[in-house]
Amino acid sequence: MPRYFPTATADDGARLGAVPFGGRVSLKDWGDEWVVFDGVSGDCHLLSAACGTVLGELLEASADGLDALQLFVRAFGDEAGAPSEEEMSMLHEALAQLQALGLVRADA
Amino acid sequence: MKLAALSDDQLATALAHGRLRLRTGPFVTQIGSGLDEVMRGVAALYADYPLEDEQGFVDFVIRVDRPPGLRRWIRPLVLFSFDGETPFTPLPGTQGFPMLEWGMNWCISAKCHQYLTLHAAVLERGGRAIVLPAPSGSGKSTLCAGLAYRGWRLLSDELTLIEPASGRIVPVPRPVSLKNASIDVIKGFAPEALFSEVCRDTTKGSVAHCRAPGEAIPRALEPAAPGWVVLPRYQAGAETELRPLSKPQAVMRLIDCAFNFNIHRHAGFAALCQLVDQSDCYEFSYSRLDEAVQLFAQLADTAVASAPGLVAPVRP
Repeated sequence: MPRYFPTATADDGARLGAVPFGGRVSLKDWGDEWVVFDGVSGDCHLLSAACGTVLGELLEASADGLDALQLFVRAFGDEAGAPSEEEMSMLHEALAQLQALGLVRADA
Repeated sequence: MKLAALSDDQLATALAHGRLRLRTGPFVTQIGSGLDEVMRGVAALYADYPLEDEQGFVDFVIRVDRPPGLRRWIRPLVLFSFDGETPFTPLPGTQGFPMLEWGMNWCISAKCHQYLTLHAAVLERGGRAIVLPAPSGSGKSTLCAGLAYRGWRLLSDELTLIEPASGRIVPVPRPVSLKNASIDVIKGFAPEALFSEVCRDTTKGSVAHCRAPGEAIPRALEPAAPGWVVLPRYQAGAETELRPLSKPQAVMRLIDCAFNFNIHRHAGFAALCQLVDQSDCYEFSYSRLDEAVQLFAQLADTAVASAPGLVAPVRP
């Protein structure tokens, strides 16, 4: 199972709202929509709540990254139980969108 | 001392020798020009602005003059220079005053990176600033002039300066630039408005500048807190309509109109997010200036402004 990593880091401890942002990526959450500034490319992107949540979790994860199941648990909580096919599909779609924007990479 | 205290001869001499030090908001510009039309424009539109003495700091040293050689006489041109450099190609000889205005805008947008600078008009009422970002031709300056002549304090018709650390909006009130049909619209809407000569056949069509009214100049050093972000769009025959805009969309639109976001980057992103957090955000379409101005007065004067979801659409 591939592990996912943010291509930018959230490493300087500065905070904007409830989401950490660093020298390389800034993320701002308004509920249904998020906005991210990618300091690597210099681009800003509008993100859906799913993409924003996934990116936020990856930014807060350890340097080892997260696989899709770990991401699911972090995003939905332990009480969510095993993910349904539809939920995993949504998660993979969010990851694909983030990869297409250059915000996330997979190791396999 | 205000510029109006200078006699015509004193003003002409100060300009000819490049010694006129004019304060506009936080900036001091040292202006030189030997052109009569520049002197007339400065005298008419900057009469109430403070002058700085010769010992103080100067942000920009600029001149607008005829270029050397035969172009002084045959199909004459005007040339803008900044610190001795000439960043623009010359313009036809009648465009001296517009060139001064455009050059002064360029000095700020290209050089003053202590601020995050947006291509947006901005005014204030009741302590809250309304930011009007829009491309050329959207009716931004017409709306801005209309509001400025109906009780809103003009901070700028062209450049919104944001202090990244505080999020405050810093005024730089200067004459409002109007084009083509907008000139007569504002002359009809505010007969008391004082205009420069109309300059025809510029790349933007006919251009005239109108003097910053009311409290704009006396309060030019007083910043304002953000209150609204409104994206205006003039469309012939359009109803006057205000539609809520999501905050993330507003951030994206503001980034699009920032001159120096690439310099401020994360700090600029944080400043724009803060500005939008503190503002009610809308898209606005209009064709009738009096209705538009009435609607914005409503927006400023009622508590509805703090509940953007309740005002879509609003018609006066």
